[in-house]
Amino acid sequence: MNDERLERQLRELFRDDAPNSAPNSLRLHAAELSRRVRPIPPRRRLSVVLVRALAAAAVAAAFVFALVLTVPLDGPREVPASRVPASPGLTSMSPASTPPATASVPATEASGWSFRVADSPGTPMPVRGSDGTIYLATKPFGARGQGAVYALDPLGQVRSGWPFAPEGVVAFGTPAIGADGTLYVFSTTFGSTGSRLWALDPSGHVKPGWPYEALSIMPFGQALATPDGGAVFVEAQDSGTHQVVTLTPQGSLKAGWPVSLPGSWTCGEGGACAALGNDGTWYGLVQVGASSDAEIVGIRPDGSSAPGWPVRIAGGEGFVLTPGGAICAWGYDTNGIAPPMGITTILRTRFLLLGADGQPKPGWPVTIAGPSGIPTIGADDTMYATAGAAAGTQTILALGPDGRERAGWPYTLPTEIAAWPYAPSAGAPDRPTSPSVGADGRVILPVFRAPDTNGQKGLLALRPTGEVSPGWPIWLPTDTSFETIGGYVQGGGGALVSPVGGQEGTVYLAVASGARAEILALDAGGALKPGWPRPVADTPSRAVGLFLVPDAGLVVTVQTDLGNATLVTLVMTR
Amino acid sequence: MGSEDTLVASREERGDAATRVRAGDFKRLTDRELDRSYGLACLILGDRDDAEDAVHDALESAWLRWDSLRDTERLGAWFRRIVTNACCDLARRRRITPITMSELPEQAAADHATGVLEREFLREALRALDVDHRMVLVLRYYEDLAVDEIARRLGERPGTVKSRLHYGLRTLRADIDAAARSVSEGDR
Repeated sequence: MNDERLERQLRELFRDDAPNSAPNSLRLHAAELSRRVRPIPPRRRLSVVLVRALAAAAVAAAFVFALVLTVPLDGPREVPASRVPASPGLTSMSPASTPPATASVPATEASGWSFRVADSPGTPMPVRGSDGTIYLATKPFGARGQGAVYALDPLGQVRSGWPFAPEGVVAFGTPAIGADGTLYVFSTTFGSTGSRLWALDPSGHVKPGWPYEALSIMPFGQALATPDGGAVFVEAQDSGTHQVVTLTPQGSLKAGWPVSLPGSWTCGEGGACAALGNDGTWYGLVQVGASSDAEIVGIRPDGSSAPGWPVRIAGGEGFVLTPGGAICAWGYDTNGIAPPMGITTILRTRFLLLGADGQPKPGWPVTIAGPSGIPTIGADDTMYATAGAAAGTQTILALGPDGRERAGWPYTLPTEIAAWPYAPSAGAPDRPTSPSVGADGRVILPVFRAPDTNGQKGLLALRPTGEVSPGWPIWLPTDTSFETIGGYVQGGGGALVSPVGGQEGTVYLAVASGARAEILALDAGGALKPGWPRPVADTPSRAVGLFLVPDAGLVVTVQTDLGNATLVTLVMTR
Repeated sequence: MGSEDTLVASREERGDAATRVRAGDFKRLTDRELDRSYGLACLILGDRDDAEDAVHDALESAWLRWDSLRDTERLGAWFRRIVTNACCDLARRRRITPITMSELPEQAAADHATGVLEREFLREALRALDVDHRMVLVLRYYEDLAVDEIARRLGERPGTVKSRLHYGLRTLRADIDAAARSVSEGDR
């Protein structure tokens, strides 16, 4: 086919395939918008929030909203030039040029703190250094945005030397922290087709030899810090293929790298884009040609292919690295129908546990009927997953590394209770949420009263031995729903609705009660703990994520809507 | 009525009038641009539900950023730029799995004597392209924009746009040729 004919066919196809009219829902939404009172300018909205927060601080000393504003909320797009260093990217901001806090309430570790920053839709993932520093990288909306990386001390104050905000950077990726505390983080500059990988020391300075200029704009995920002090990441080439790049601690290309991937690299469901094994082997998921299968690729630290890899996964959907160093992969057999031809149905889910040699462990694969979600791996390498569609019988599986059910398992849910469903994208078939595993080994599952997902929501807790914990399930008030964690999934499992379980059996859950987002803390017997629930937002939120920090408390990320941006609040509370 | 009350009342009236003008302008925008913008989003994203989400976000964004619109003559281009950005944002937040050639419907293979099959091949090849390449093809051949205009809309360099157009067309051609070969081999 020649160019002229192809271009003509493209024009005709686009003309014929584009729908002639927008759905009524959009017209109704447009009409509703035009009737809406002009929005409060964000600066004023902030002051409203601030006043409320200060009042809350005075009344509830146990939970202080310390609003430390780092950029004006009418947007990250309007950060004044004076706030960025004169030498783009070569030094971090001096303490004097740190964006001023417009309000600050004295905070103590006992009372907790909060930190707010405007950001783009899509949830930034906070990461925590071994010294307790919490890093948050932002990607403000729009071409004129100014991204920044913040380092917060255990009291929620921006550390001296931070934020890191080189001029022109519109977005940062999720940081990774090396064993020596080096922070590796990607940035994108407006108008560039490439990106930069920065290595920052804990004081916010760029390490000598960095940044590294990558070929493509922030490939899906983050860089991974390698055990020997460098970083590894994937970049897209112009040809549409991908290659894996490993850099030395000095920011130069490591011998034997880059390594081209045999197909298109893809982020598995749940954000498992890549993982580093205990021996430094890099693992990634690759889409294979025109099939729905995927391959997991293994590359050794010297750039050679790891023996036994790649491994083909039929209908491959994702993988997670287990604490024991194995790879737990899963894939689906579907009815083969894709929208718009019809509705995709997951017929079977296949789990596979692979050793470092690429060989399936004895007892695997394990195939179950119907859909299952992202598996959760316990500290002892037990794989937990919920199996079956909400309309049928559902069970919670607990499979040992030998592929056998643990004693006392599986647990079959009563017919009137179903696991909370989620779908990784619009139109994708529902999967049941997998349970979370608490620090005390209990298994916690968000559930609803079947068959209506609009019905009452609750939590089920099972003992490690597979019996229901006394006092559970607990049910939320009928006007209360789950808060969801949006576009990311916590490391280790859980999906969308993700309760977390602490050491003494405390279970934390984010819920929406009216327009308010609240955090519940339930004791081992399912009773609400004194002093809870605690509010974290008084406007409807987009997403709430919970991160339990051992010996420190609970970090909550709350996204509330600012129209074309979101307001991200980190809350640390005990 | 005291002078202060009068002043307050007149301010409110002015505010009401401004709100009405704004609402009227916004309604005109949506009456004129919604269908075309939805079509654009459908072609870029290849999925009507996703397109609806993207245009929904774009409407919210346009309403909030209305005051940044300086030239009402450029209203259409301004809104479609917001829609294009919303599509980019949505596509990058979601993993879009390309539909593969092997999933072509059976009836298409039976039709290959006509041009129907070639069109099916083209449609599938387009869906298999990544969103960056599909987007420049849609802007070029549906929106009829020149390379420089596409570059401005996407915030990219013209060279990048040219390269994506070139690569996109080349990939489409290769996919269509490969699919045609596989059908003719299957017939033999």
